[in-house]
Amino acid sequence: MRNLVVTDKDISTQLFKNSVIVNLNNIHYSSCTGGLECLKCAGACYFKDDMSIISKWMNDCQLIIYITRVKYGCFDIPFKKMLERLVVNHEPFYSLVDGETCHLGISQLRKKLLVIGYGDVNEEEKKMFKDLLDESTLGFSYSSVDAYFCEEDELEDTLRTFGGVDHE
Amino acid sequence: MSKILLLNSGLKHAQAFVDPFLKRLEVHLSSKENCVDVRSAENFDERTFFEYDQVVFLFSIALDSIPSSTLEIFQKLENQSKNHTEIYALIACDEYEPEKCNLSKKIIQKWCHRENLQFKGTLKIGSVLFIMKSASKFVVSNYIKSFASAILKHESIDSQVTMLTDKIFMKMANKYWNKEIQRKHKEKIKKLKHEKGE
Repeated sequence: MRNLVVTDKDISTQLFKNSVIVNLNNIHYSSCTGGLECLKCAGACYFKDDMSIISKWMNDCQLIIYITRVKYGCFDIPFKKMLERLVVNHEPFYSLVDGETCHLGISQLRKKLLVIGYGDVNEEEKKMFKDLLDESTLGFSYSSVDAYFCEEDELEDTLRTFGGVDHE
Repeated sequence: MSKILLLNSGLKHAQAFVDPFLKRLEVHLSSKENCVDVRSAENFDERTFFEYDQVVFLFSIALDSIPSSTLEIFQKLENQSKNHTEIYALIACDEYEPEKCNLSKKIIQKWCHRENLQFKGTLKIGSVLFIMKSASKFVVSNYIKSFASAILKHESIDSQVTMLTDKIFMKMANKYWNKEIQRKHKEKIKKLKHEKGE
């Protein structure tokens, strides 16, 4: 699989024809318990649910598109819960990257990350969200990380603009 | 008399990482003049929030920002009546740099601003998995004491602490993970042998 779209809002499947679309409203996944036990067992998560396959897809694809509501400059709860489960894709050991300690990602496949954040987001929150993306992608080999923001009622139009980005 | 809530709001099993700090903080805050309640994300009833003069959120960050369990509490509290409660946070991260907690601090600040609560500051702790197993635990204890003192005096505070050097951290941290992985592996083999009836 080359492209993966993860969304917390129902979107038209016609917009990203060359991608697998994961709608968080339609899948079943438990909340991460944060005990980091998976890091001790080579990334084997205690929960066997839809995230088992999605976390593997995340490692294998070349383009990831997140469509998420942004609240307080952060991912909204359903999206955050999904991201927390991706701890399985980290190495347990620490490495120094740009002078900072971090966990490297298991997959070192070069990939692109595009995030479309929607909701009532002010400039300060946009900056916070971009900082968050920079932090969370440290240790992963992303060739590009881009974030775009729009109001909730503009999302359909914005996605139409980005529709086809997975054709490249 | 102040009524203080210590809320361990991290992910269920990550709460154990901040427990040693919570216990120390509770000791420093408890006195005849104060009433200190301790709750976790699972047993906290948001309807009681307005009863407290000061609330301290304690959590370990998850994937570089505030854990979803804390965001859920924020969301529940959005529709609750609140006094002008003072909010403090003890934020921990497993990496060496306590600056990794800054984003979570900003998110809490943002939430407090929107909800008309008084954000009074944070204590950020780096190397959370290992710091209490090193000599730095005495340093951390002093920081917690200062944090508690600021809470009791209703003062603002912004402090951070981590292990002595990143070299000590890297050595200790990677040794810890090696040991844990080996332990898990042995457990797994033992379990398999037991299942086969050997």
